[in-house]
Amino acid sequence: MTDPRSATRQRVRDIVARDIKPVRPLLPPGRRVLLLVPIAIAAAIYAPFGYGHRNFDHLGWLASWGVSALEWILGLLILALALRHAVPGRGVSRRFLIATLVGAPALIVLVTVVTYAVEPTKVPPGLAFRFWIECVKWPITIAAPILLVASLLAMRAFPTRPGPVGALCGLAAGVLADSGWRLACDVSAPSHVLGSHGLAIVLVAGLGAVASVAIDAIRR
Amino acid sequence: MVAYQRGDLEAFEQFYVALEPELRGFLRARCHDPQRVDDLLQETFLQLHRSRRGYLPGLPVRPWVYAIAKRVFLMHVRKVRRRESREMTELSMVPEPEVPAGADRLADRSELLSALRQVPPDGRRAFLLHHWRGLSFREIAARLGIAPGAAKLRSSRAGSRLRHLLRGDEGESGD
Repeated sequence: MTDPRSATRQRVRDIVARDIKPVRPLLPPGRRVLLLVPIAIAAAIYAPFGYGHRNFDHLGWLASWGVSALEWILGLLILALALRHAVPGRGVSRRFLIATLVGAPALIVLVTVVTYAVEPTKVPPGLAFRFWIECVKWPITIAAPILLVASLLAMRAFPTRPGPVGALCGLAAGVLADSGWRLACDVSAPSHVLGSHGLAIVLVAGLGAVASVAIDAIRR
Repeated sequence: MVAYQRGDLEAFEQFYVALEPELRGFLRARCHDPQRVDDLLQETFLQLHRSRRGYLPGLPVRPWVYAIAKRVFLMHVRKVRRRESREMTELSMVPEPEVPAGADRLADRSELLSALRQVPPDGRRAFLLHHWRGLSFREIAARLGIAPGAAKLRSSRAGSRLRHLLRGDEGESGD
């Protein structure tokens, strides 16, 4: 009778032998993030230059471009974290993950408060719903290409926890898109910014998580 | 590992030989059925093969390998739980049969379900497939990926266990 261990070994060997093509190893996460920098720059400058921008003279250089640059860098750091977390055995601790998933939205709240303190502007009467729709739709549209490319890069590593990896990719895409969109939107009232820009970030993060889990399920 | 990524089958063999004993130990500590350990080991190596591009050269291999082995095991546990939950749901949906006279000799349905839950899952599955679904042991063996003899043995042991659990209420009952 065949030894079960040898039988298993032989079965695995046969399957692997049929598919032993050379593969190119993934680049380290820090270098893969660089591939996304052009898309991230495009996402950040599309809104203020392609859609239209608020009055930078009122807001000042630091509270407009300075804060947006900070938000953009935060987005890239979250993206690097997502790509690192995607590599099996290289995941960050649960505590660090939760701190990121909570800390990034907290920073968005801080940015909102600072912007409102420097230049308080409100939604014109009767246009609240229209503004809300625009400020949910556009950040999601701008974030979508970043989310797509980031998710594909992350999923190539066969993450063992696709849900959190996808959520991080979505969060990063949302934050990167918002770094430009906050310069395009004239309104700084926290109720509008958090209820629409913030909601868009949360929706993109959720979409990232669902998409990654779905890709993982299809692939298995 | 780098040679394996370059498509060297010999390197895969060395990779297998080096990691097989410790991965087997890792899985055996979590799953006591030797047949299942073999299946999980095979699945782990195939998963490692599918995701070999994700290993970053220069980093230690073991954290990568164990993260994947752990995931394979957790997915297996999730699958088993889902299947058991589905089987228990199906079982609870069985309509109440026509109760013949003298039915007080028979076990109460809730007691039967409770006893069934105490029967080991492997045996319960074989028992239910044979006695409730009416499958032959050959069909059960094909479905569970085991030998027909093993299916018969599992079902028989589950029947004995069930009788033992119900004996306090009804004495010897047929299976």
